[in-house]
Amino acid sequence: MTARQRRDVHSLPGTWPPLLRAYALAIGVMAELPPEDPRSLAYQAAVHGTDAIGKADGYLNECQHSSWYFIPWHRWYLYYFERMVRAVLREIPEVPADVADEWALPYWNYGKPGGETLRPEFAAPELWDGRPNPLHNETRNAGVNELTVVVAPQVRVPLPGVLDRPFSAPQTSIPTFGGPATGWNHGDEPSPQVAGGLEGTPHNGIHQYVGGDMMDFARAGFDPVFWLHHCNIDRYWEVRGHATDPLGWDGVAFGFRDADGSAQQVTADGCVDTVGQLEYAYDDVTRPEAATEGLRIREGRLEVFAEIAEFEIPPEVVGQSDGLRLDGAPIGTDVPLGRVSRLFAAARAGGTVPRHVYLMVNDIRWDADPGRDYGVYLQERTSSADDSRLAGVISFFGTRRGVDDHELSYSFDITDIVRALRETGDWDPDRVPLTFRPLDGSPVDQPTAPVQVGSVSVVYQ
Amino acid sequence: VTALAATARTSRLSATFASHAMRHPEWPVLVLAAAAWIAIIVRAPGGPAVDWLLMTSAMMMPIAGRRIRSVVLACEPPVRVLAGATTLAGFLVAWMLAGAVVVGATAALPALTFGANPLGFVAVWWLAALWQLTPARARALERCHRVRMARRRRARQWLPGLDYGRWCVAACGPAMAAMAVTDTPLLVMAGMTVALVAERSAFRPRRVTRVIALAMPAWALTAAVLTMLGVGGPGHATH
Repeated sequence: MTARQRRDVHSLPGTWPPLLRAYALAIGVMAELPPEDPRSLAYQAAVHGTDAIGKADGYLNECQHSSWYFIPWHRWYLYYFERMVRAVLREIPEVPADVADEWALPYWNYGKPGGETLRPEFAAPELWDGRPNPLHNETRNAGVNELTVVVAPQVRVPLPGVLDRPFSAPQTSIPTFGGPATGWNHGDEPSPQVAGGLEGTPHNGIHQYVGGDMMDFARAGFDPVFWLHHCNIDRYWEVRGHATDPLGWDGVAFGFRDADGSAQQVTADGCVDTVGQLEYAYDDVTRPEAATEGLRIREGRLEVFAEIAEFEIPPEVVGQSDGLRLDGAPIGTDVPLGRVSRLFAAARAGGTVPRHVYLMVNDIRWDADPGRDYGVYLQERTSSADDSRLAGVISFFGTRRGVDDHELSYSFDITDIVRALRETGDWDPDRVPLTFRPLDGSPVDQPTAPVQVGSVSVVYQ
Repeated sequence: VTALAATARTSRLSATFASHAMRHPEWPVLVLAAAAWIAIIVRAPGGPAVDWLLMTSAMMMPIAGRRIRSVVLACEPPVRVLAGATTLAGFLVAWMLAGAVVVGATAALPALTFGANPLGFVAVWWLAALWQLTPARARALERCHRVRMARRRRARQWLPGLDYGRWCVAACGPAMAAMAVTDTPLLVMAGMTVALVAERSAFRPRRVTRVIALAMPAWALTAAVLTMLGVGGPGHATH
C-alpha cells in the first residue's frame, strides 16, 4: 500500500476537481446520518467537543488543547475522519471507486500566495449542478464567504522561531512548538491554559478568521473547512520534522471510533511517521516564508533554543502589568520590570542576565467572539505598527465556550526583540511598553466584543 | 585543587537546589500536609475544630499544592511568598467555614458511627456517593481546576484562595464530611486522599470520580460486615 497524498487545496486544477466533488458529496451524506452513527458529521464534531456533559459514548468531547497532545490528538482525529469519508464515499454510486479509495484530505495553505482566502468551492452556496453545497457554511464571518477579506499576514504561517522551538516544555511560561507538557487536557488541567506556538498561530488565528462555527469547540467540526485547516496544522509537524519529538508522552491513550464503529485506542507516539504508521504524505513540506518584512527581520535574528539543557534553568516572572480591556482599538500598557530573585541567580551560579526573555499574555477572557486577532507589539501606542517588534498574536479560539471562567494564555519568545532594542539603545530596563493592535485582515466591519486580559508578564530564563 | 573542586561541587549543589526550589514552590505546603498527618497519627490533643483542621490540612493540602504552585510561579519574586500564603489561607478559611457546619451537625445529630447508628452511617456514605455523581459536583470540580488570581494586588490572594476553597469544598466537602461524622479509620482517610489527588491529576477524571463513588458504598458495606463479624469497623476504630 502506497501512501496517499495530501495536497494543497488551492493547487487542485480546475473548478470542482474530483477530490472536492467527492468531499462535498461525502459531507452531504455525513450531515444526514443520525448523530449516534460515528460516520455522521454530528458525531465527528462531537468527538472534538459537545456541550452535553456525560454522554454515554466515551469517545466524545475529547479534543486536546493547550497541551503537547494538541498536535498528535488532532492528527489521529483527522486520520479517523479521513477513514470515515472514504467509507462513506464507497457507498455513493456517483463517486468512482478509485477516487473513493485514494481520497485523502486536502490542506488549506493560507501561508502560500493565492491561499489567503477560502477556495471558491467552499464559499459557493451551490454545487456544480445547482444542489445546495454542503461545503458552504453560512455562519462564517462576513467577507469570508465573499472571498473579500484575506487572512491577516501575521497569522498565515507560524510566528518566527516557532518551528524551531522545543516541542514541549515542563513550565508553561516557556514558549513551545506543540504546547506545554500536561496530562490529558480537554480544558481539565489546572490553569493556566497556555497555547503552544503552532496552536496560537496560525491555528487559533485561522479559527478566528473564519469565525462562526469555527469559533466554537462544539461546532467547529461542522464547518467542512475545519478539516482542511487542521490538515495544514498537521502538515507543520512534518515541516518541522521529528528530530526532537517529546519522550514519555505515550502514557496517555486516545480513544476513537473507526468507520466500522469499532473502538480504537491510540497513543501520541503511534502517529509520528505519517507514511509508515498512517499511510499518508504531504506533497509539500518546505519551510514557509514570513508574510511581512518585519517578521522576516525577526526570523533573521533568531537563535536556536538548546532545549533540554535549558529546561534545567527555570524561568522567572520579573514584571507584570495590571489587567486591560481590548475593545477593537489599539491600546497601550506598560509592564514594570523588577529584579530577579536570589534563587534565579543561584540556579545560574550567580548570573543574573537572562538568556531568554518571554512575554506572557495571561488569563484572556471573553463572553462573545471578539471578531478579530490582536497583535502584541513591543512599542508605544503612538508608534506605527512594526512587525519586527511583533511579539505574537492573540486569537480567541482555544477554550470551551459555555464553561464558566474560560480563559486562555499565550507565551511568546521576545529574546531577539529585546536584544535588538538593547543594541539600538531603545531598551528600558525598568519598563516594557506594549501595544495591542487589531490586525489588518480581521473582518473589522463586524461588531467588537470586549476582551479582558488578566495581565501581561515578562519572564526571564 | 581539592578546595576548588569542593567549591565547584557546592556551587553545583546550590544551583541544583535553587533550580528545584524555583520549580516546586509547593513543597512547603506538602510538608505542612505531612505534619498534619503526623499529628493525626499520634492523636494530637484538640477539639472537633482542631480535628477538622488537621483532617482538611492532611487531605486537601496535597490537592491545593498544584494550585499554589501555579500562583507562585505567576508572581514576581517580592510577592511570591505572600501570594502563596494568602492563597492557602483563603483556601483554609473556606474549609474551616465548612468545618463549622460539619462540627455543628455532628453535635446536633445523633452519632453516625456504624456501631451506634448503622442506618445513619450507610445513609451518609450513600449520600456522599450520590453527590459525587451529580453534574453540580462535576462543575465544582472543573471550577476547582481553574486558577483565578488577583492581578492588581498580586501579594493578596485571600479572595481568590477563598473562591478556590469554595469550589473545592463543593467538590470534596460531602466526602470529607462523611469521613468526619462517621469516625473513619486512618487507612480509609489515606485511601480517599490518594483517590482525590488522583482525580485531580487523572488522564480521565470522570472515571476516577465514578470509582470513588463506587468505593463509598463499598466502604459502608465493608464496615457493616466487619462490625457484624466483630473484627473492628468504624464504630471501633477511632482516631
